Amino acid sequence: MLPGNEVLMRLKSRDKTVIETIYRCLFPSINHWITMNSGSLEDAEDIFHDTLLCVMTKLDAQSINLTCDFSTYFNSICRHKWHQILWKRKRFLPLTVENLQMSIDEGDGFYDMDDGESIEDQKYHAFIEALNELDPQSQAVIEASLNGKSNKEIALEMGFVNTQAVADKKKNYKKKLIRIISKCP
Amino acid sequence: MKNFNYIEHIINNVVTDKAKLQFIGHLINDPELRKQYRQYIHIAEEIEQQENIIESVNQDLTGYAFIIKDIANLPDRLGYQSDDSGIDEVSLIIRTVIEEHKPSKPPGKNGWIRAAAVFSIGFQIFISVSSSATIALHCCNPIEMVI
Repeated sequence: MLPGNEVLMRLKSRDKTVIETIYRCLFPSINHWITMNSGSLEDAEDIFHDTLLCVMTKLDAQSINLTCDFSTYFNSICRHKWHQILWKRKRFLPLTVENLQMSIDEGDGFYDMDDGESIEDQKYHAFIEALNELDPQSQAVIEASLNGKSNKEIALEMGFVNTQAVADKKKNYKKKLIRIISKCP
Repeated sequence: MKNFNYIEHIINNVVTDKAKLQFIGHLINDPELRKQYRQYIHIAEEIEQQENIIESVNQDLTGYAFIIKDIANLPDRLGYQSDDSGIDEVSLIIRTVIEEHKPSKPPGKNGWIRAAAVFSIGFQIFISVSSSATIALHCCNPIEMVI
């Protein structure tokens, strides 16, 4: 694989050979990971396409400052994007006539894609942005909790006195989250 | 939110029954407080729901760690319209590369069906041979066998 900055430079100039190199080097592992995690070859291709497209369009707008290897950066985006797809699959009801009718009746905007982003997507982004505004320690606790760690494990890893201290921390960050989200338009 | 501290205090702290009743009284008489209380509860439920979904997605994934900073800074296509010719051109190049280098399909379903069919036929032959051999052994008198 080429050095990260050279990859970015050549991507910016729409060099097809570098896209081929990225595909050859990174797609097999992305495909393997996605197919291992409830996806298909087509899903992996879509994720690869979408990630590269986002990187290239971001490069047009601003420069990307790589703090790690390009493959690590690219793989990380692919994995998070796949995470978002799975989030959508869990969050959204399967698109059937009944669900669509129910959504229209309730006016909850589940399938309201007029502005390119549904209300559910906006809620998700508001939640992620709110998490991003929290202090590093709260973020670490949330990450550990969302990654499946128990209060006991979190207390041991992060040096909390006991599990009650972790529970209190969680309660506090939820209060902060509500405050941040309530300020969102 | 004007009454945020009041609502937060009643919901999260240990309060007396008198304070609770007072709050209910305010809820009944103050439409603004009622609206804000509903909003507070709605946001709290939304947070709970988002956490549950993300947690359940994370549980299903192997080799993945949810990192807030990374997710919040994911590059997206904001500022680009779907009819932007630049984005279409880039998309086409990537799709072409994907199509040109598409991995050849593994045997897939048909291969498995064929393998399963061969296995089941082989298994049936084995069963019938072994059962006839068992019957033959049972029928033979061991003394005769010795003689």
